[in-house]
Amino acid sequence: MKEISISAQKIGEFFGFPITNTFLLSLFFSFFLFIIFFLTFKRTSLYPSKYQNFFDWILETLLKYFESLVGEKQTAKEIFPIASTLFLYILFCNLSEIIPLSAISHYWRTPSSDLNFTLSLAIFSMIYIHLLAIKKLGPFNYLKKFIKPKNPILTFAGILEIFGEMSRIISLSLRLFGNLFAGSVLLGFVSLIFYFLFPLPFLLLEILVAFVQALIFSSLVVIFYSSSIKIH
Amino acid sequence: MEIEIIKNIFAGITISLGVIFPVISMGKIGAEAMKGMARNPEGASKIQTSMILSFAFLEAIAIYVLLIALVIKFG
Repeated sequence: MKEISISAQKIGEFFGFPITNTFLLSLFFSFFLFIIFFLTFKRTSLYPSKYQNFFDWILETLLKYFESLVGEKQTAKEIFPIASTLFLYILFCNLSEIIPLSAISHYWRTPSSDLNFTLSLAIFSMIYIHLLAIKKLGPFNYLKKFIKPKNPILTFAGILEIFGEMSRIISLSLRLFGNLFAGSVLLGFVSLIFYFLFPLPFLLLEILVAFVQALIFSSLVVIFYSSSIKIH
Repeated sequence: MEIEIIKNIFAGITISLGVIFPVISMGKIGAEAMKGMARNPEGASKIQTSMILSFAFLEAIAIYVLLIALVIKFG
C-alpha cells in the first residue's frame, strides 16, 4: 500500500520548480471548468439550449441562496462572481476524491487534500474581500472601522481585529483541508479492505462532505464580505 | 518503548478525547432543532438548512482533532 503523506508527492520538474500531483489535477480541473462554461455561454440566446438552461439553474439557485444569507440583493450581486466560482471549483475538486485511485496510484490526489491549495484559496479570498471593501467604502471609512481616533481602548480592540482576520484564513483553509484529507485516507483504507459493497456508505458520506464543504467555503466568503462592508 | 508504539498510543488518545465535546454539542443542536421544527412546522426547511450549516462548523473542530491525530501517526 502506498504510504500516506500530508504533503503532495512530486512527480516532475519544470525549469527548477517541482510539480506535484495535486498541482496538475488542480490545473486540469480549472481548465475543465473554464472550457465547460466557455462553450456553454459562447452564444447565449433567449431560448436557451439544455446545457445553458442547466447552468443557468445552478447559478440562479446559488444567487438566491447567497441573497438569503446576506439579506439584500446588491451585496450578493457584488460578491457573486467570486463566490460561485469558488463553489464550483471546490466542488469539482472535492468530487474527484470519490474515485479512490489515490490508494494505489501515485498520480491521483484531489487538490483539496493539499494544504497549499486550500491556504492559497483562503488567502486570496480574504485579500479580495478587503480590497472590495476598500473600493466600496473608501479608504478613510474603511480605516475608521479599525482605528477609532476618539477612543484609545476601542482602537486597541480594532488592531486586534487583524488577528481575527488571520484566524479566519486559518480556519477556512484547515476546515477544507482536514475534511478532504481525512476523507481520502478513510476511502483509501476502506477500499483496500474489501472493494465491492463495503465502501458504499463511506462513498455516500464523502459525496455529502464534498457538497457541504464547497458550500461552507463559499457561504463563509459571502458572510465575511457582508460583515466587512457594514459600518457600525 | 519504541517511538512507533508511543505514536500509535497518543494518536488514539488524541482522537478519543478530542471528539467528546464537539459530539455533545452537535447532539444538543440536533435536539433543539427538532424541538423547533415540532413547534413550527412551516419554518421546518429554514431550520433544517441552519442545522446542517451549524453541523458543518462543529464538524470542522472535530476534523481539526482528527488532523492532529493523523499528523502524530504519519508525520
